[in-house]
Amino acid sequence: MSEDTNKHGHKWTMVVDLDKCTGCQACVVACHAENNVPIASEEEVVKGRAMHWMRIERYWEGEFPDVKAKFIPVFCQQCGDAPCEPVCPVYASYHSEEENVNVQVYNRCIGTRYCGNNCPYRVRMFNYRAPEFDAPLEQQLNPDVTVRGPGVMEKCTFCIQRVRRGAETANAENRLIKDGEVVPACVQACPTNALVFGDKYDEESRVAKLVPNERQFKLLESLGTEPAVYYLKGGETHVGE
Amino acid sequence: MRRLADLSPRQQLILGGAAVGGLVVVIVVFLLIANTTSSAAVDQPIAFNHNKHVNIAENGIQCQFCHTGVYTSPVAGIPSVEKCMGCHGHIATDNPEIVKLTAYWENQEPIPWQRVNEQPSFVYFNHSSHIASGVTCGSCHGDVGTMKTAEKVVDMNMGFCLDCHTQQENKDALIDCVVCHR
Ligand code: HEC
Ligand code: HEC
Ligand code: HEC
Ligand code: HEC
Ligand code: HEC
Repeated sequence: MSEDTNKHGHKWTMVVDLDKCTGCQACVVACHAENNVPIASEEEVVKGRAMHWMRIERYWEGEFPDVKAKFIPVFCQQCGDAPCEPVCPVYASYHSEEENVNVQVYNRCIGTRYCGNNCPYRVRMFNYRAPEFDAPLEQQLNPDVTVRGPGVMEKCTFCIQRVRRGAETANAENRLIKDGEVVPACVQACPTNALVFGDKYDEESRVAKLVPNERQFKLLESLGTEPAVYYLKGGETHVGE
Repeated sequence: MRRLADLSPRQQLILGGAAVGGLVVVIVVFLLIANTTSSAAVDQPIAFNHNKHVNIAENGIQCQFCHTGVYTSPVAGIPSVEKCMGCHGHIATDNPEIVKLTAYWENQEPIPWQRVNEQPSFVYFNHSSHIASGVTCGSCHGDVGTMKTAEKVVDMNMGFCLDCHTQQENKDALIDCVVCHR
């Protein structure tokens, strides 16, 4: 399902400007709220069972006292050639030809965890136990997103429920989706606009214009996974661009 | 009367076979009945009669007057007590069911209507997409307008949804799992 062989539908794409990311984690919180992601306890985290669809990796650069913190938000890269897809024995992890994103059908998933083990980005999360939401959090569960049960793999979907809602609205009004109409929760929450989301097949979209950039790179590009997430390298010279 | 132990082994076998066979017949018949009556009416807190309100000869109220979301939203919506009282503040106020209705209104309580059609939580459904494309209420809910009590007439399983989606022009887009599961 490489990028070049599928030209119909949409190519949902994220551009992350590392110059603008302050590592504030607002995106992480927004993602938990939007996608009904349960919060793992400290003991669970120690066991390597943390639940986040999105994480901010932090790197220290330099020697004390001259140190700098660098941040990289990492979430599902929505690979064009995804390692998680062919290993699923029940096709619960599949590629949506329309939206060009990697989708997880939770009710189809039987929990073999092959997909998570084959993901080089470590962004797939397994529900080791039934999800719990401490009161009053259960009152704000998003009705458009399934609450995943125990034994099911889950991950970032580019807020597919918002993408689909945008498509349904545009369909009802007999028009195409406009650039900027669909905004995933993390993008909406980002105070510095470090995250930009859109359809790369739409040549006028902001992502299509941002991608050809000398600062652009992809995570573990050499693996040939064809991520749909593009990063723009950080460096002081570009601040305020 | 002879006791079971007095019977020859052969007779015991025949009797046992007959008993098991009888039981199987009873179970099959029970399952058949249970299946055909799966559309049994739901017990509602007020005996709301669709036919009385929708029937042209009677009142001729349109579906979307009460189910206001059908053109604009995923959920059809159940009318508020206030909407009922807009008419029943004056109409049939002595009817025992309307007395119940008025009590909810005066206590400022919502009516605990029971769901008739309900999808599992992992299924996403959208009314407006269907109504905008000209799919009628009847193709999924049956002729509610003639019902005394709203009943489930079809089991809306995945095959039911896909049977229709695969007949649409843009079927590739409509059978993508993410249309209904997310
Ligand atoms: C006067 C208001 C009113 C009108 C008009 C009306 N309904 Fe209803 N409808 C209700 C109420 C109240 C309920 C909840 C009680 C019940 O299920 O009977 C309901 C329930 C339903 C249900 C079952 C909901 C569930 O839980 O699955 C369906 C289906 C339905 N209506 C369809 C229709 C259709 C189709 C029409 C038009 C032919 C219509 N209604 C007209 C008030 C109305
Ligand atoms: C547009 C006006 C209107 C609205 C809105 C309306 N009704 Fe009615 N309703 C009527 C009329 C007219 C009758 C018939 C009265 C009669 O037969 O005397 C009726 C009859 C009834 C009856 C008696 C039915 C019977 O079998 O005799 C009940 C119960 C009832 N309505 C409940 C409700 C409920 C609950 C709602 C809100 C969901 C509601 N109605 C909304 C106009 C309305
Ligand atoms: C394509 C099939 C389909 C059509 C057409 C359809 N419905 Fe529904 N309806 C459903 C399903 C499925 C549910 C259960 C949804 C759920 O549980 O999420 C439902 C639920 C409802 C409910 C109760 C829950 C809610 O959404 O408020 C009402 C009321 C209702 N429908 C009314 C209508 C009316 C009125 C029409 C016509 C204008 C209509 N429906 C057309 C499939 C349909
Ligand atoms: C009688 C035919 C029919 C049935 C039955 C039916 N659908 Fe649909 N469905 C359609 C049509 C037509 C559309 C609109 C397609 C469009 O706008 O291009 C649609 C659209 C949708 C959409 C929105 C897709 C979009 O992109 O706008 C969803 C979600 C959906 N259906 C879910 C369901 C589910 C769940 C069921 C079963 C409970 C179901 N449908 C049963 C005909 C049907
Ligand atoms: C048009 C809507 C629609 C589409 C598209 C769709 N499904 Fe479903 N699916 C449903 C409905 C509705 C149910 C619930 C059936 C029921 O209640 O019996 C369901 C149930 C299921 C179940 C059963 C889950 C359980 O625990 O009972 C699985 C598995 C499933 N779907 C997988 C898929 C896969 C995989 C795809 C894509 C190839 C897909 N579905 C596409 C509507 C859809």
